[in-house]
Amino acid sequence: MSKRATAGILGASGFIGSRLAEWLILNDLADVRPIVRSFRGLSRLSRFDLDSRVADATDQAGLTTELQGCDVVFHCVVGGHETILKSIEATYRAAAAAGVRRLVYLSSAVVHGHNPAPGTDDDSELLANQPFEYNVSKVMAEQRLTELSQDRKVETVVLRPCIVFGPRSQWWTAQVATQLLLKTAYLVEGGTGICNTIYIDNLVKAMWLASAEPAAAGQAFLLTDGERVTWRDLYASVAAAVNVDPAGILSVSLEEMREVQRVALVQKRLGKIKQSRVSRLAIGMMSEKLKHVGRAVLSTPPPPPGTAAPVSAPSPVIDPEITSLQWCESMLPIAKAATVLGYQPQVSFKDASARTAAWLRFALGVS
Amino acid sequence: MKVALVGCGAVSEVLYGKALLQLEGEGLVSTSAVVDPNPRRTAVVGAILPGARQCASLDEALAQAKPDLAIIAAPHRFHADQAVQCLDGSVAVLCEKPMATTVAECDRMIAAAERSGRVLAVGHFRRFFPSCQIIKTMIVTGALGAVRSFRVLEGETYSWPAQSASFFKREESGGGVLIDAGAHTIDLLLWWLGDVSEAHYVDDAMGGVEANSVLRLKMASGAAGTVHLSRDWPLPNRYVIECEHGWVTYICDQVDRLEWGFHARPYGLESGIHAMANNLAEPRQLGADVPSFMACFVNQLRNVVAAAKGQAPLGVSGVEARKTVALIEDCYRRRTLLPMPWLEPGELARAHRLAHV
Repeated sequence: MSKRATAGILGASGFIGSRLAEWLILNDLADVRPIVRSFRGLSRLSRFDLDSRVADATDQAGLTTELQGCDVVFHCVVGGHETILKSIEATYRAAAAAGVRRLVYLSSAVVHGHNPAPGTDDDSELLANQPFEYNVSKVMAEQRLTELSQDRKVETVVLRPCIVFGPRSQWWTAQVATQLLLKTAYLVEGGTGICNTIYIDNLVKAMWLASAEPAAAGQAFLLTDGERVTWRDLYASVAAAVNVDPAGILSVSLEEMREVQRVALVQKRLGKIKQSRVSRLAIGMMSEKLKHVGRAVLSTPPPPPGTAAPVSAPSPVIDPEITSLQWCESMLPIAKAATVLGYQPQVSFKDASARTAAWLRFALGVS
Repeated sequence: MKVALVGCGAVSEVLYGKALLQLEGEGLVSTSAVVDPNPRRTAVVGAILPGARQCASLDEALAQAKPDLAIIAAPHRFHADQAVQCLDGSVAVLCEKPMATTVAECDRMIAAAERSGRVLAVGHFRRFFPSCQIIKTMIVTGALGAVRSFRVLEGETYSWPAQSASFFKREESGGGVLIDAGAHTIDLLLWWLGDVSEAHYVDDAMGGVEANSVLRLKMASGAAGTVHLSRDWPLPNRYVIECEHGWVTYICDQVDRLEWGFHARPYGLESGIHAMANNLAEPRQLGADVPSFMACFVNQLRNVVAAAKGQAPLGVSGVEARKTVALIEDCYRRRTLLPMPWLEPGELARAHRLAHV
């Protein structure tokens, strides 16, 4: 970019959007324009003096107004199926109307499924037939963006990170910590599956590269930390941060994982109950062995003072989607991102874990 | 008593509107005006209080609706000017927290109250929670011995249904989480524990307003402790007070229960709070449930109305609430940047420049 860019960030109040905004500001790379759905979304962003805007990411007219003057827009919106699809359409059309040069769309590696076939790369066909709604929604959003961008009014870049963790990660940092403290964490086959992590700072660096590299236009990129990290490694790093022995994490066998997923699939087909209830029902239908393991874990002594002191111990809820994610047998490649974007993960998993631990202790109020 | 509700943001819609409606039903007040420059907001709050005149300015409300009491619930920066205008017009004031953004503003408000002889109350309504009142009694009586230390963790991912960006602009709000939700926290600590002798303060404002604050306080009594506030991330929302013989915990917004216990004992207590039964035959019998969160809020308003009529002592006066603003102002004056070891060194350097510390 020849001049300093103005970067619009949709979904700027969330984990990835807010860190992108913070990273761009603290590295003095762009004028940042966060766009959030409601005023309350400004709480984290307002640590900085910013030109923040409020608009619904599915409202094309509103977005067109708020994107005026932006060179690039990052789409980091989270939501359900409808939001995912409506927001990508509204954002592309608004970006076109506002004269935005490039749209960087944050998709997900799950467009290739949770356990991609060996040899899967950035240009492999997307897996449209998947059991999980989020994955299907992301596939459909990418396909829709491809259709929309045929008019070439806005350059598009699609990024597909996998397991994004780090400070302010709800799913893969805070929730894991909570489950560890409550002794409800579990790992498929002891966590030997490949995790395909990407530390948040590595991701936002890649996002910035994707916004600027001319050759990236029209391309999609898989993004990870480029290290072989297992699920056990990820959980163990969080466990260390919160003083929990990872040896106590419940191990779910492949058979039990498939049992949970089978029950979930049956229930989904029956369409009788919501997914949140499926998991609990699945527990009830599990083998006695797994229930026994669960009880054994829950009967261990409570954590030491200062870590956690639940009034009553909750039961582990084995989620079919989480177990599916945890059984990944292949490392996703980042060769294309390295070649085209010049992406090199700057923060190793070890350093990322240490930084995440520092934040986690602060966020839990134990630092 | 005629009441004007000044400012039609979220607190007026969520709390004051319903509270006034209840007091109207009891015949204690009539809401004569709702005031906001945004007609959409006066319409929203006016729908809750249909008898009120919808006014675009305080001038209009004072002239047309002639209130006896004004509830100031506008953005923080307006608190002082609006309160002084009301008091100088012989209208009693209940000012939302924070009382103001500076001590100088508080002093102007207090002076106006003294000039007019009208009530100046401040909305630190947690003091009306039975749980907070019992802790106050436990501390004052030394039931668990002298207070040694305390640890406050209060925070959430910001969820207040703010109707404008005023909470997030220093020129409007005077600061971030410390002066906003933290005003309640500081008020409780000062009420329970007395004056502060030393304060150390860090936050994460980098050109804007803070989302996270950490205070280390030493009280004149000798007790010392930490306060961690956040509107960035959920915290346990517990105030643990360690005393000579035991401990007591206030759980945020729990009006009817406390946790407490004695040191080095394997058991603690979760105590539900009830009203006394007022049974002459058995004077130690527990009776009805205590007022709910909303009922405590209404009780605050009921107290202000009674005080304005000279029928009851005022719960939280401007003079009392000034102490909270003074500590907050002192914290902002001495603030340094929150340690954030999860950031890159280069980022931290720029963060310090942006934070002007």
